[in-house]
Amino acid sequence: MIYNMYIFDRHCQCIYYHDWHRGHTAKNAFDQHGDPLASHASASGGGGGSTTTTTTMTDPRQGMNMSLEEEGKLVYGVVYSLRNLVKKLGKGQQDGFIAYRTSHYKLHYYETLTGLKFVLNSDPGVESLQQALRQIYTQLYVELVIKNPLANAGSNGASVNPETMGAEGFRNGVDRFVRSLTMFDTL
Amino acid sequence: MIFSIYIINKAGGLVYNKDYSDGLSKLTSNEYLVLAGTFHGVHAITSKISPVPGSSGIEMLETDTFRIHCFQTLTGTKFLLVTDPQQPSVDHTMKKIYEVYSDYCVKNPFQNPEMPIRSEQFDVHLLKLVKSVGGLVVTNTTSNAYNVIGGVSGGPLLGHNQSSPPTVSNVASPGLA
Repeated sequence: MIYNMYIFDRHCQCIYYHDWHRGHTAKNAFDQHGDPLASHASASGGGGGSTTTTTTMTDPRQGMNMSLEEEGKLVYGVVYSLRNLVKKLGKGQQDGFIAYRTSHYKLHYYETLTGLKFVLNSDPGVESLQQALRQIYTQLYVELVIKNPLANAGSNGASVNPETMGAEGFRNGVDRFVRSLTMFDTL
Repeated sequence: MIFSIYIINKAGGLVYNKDYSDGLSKLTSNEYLVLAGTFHGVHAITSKISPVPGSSGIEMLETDTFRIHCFQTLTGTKFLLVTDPQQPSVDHTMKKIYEVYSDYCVKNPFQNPEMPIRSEQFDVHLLKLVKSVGGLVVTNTTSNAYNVIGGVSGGPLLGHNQSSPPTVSNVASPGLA
């Protein structure tokens, strides 16, 4: 089961968020709020700024009273700390960690040489998805965002934001790719 | 192979650390303290950022060259076990470590659970356990392990330098050979 995915740029900014099965197992908790697992794949990602994304995303996670923006920061903090911890502890060349697992989910991590961080959450039984993240980077992000002159425009060369500039293709591509994974909705 | 064992108290302080082989880089005692504190914080956050409600904190961290397994007791003490990625039946080993801890630290009336562990019996039995699950390369084990004992019993809080040569006091532990 794949839950959600984040992409962070070098500046700790969450530049992409997508979720699939969020709140699925927590169905009961959400039932009372009327709007249980409304498929919020949010293909309406044109908005741009993180404020708009926040408002569209808060619904399915009412039980957790944390905005997406806030959560993004925490996720970034966690992967950043763990990455440093692993680099310090490991001998020689060590490019961060592969994944970590808790009782309820597993977080997969892939970092590009340019400092882009790809984070994917799945259920804990899934084996490593780092290769899948790598594929998302090489086949989708590079092709549809980096090579897209519109996606780069207006970002001062500092960060590429697929949400803002004509990168609808990227969101659709990621959606299609993740849905094609065998573990997408098997628990 | 077991690389190291760390024990973190419920406040995030490092109360015990020991290396059993040289699969990890050596850090200063201060760095170990920072590392323990970082892990403690991350452990708390990981249960908050779960995509599904009710998750525990981080249980296993996987990298190319090692894995960190974390077991948290009901009282909040965390046991970190750093192994190589192929180490089998870590859960069992973790239980055994907890048993050793219960026997020689919890039952020790002079041991405050929040303070660094300085119990020779604990050292001895932990070493025996690690050996039994194939944690040790028998060559150059002794010097390695004793070095670290020296560092820890000097107390990370005292800023003892771990790379100092073993002195008589930390080599003389009967029953270890």
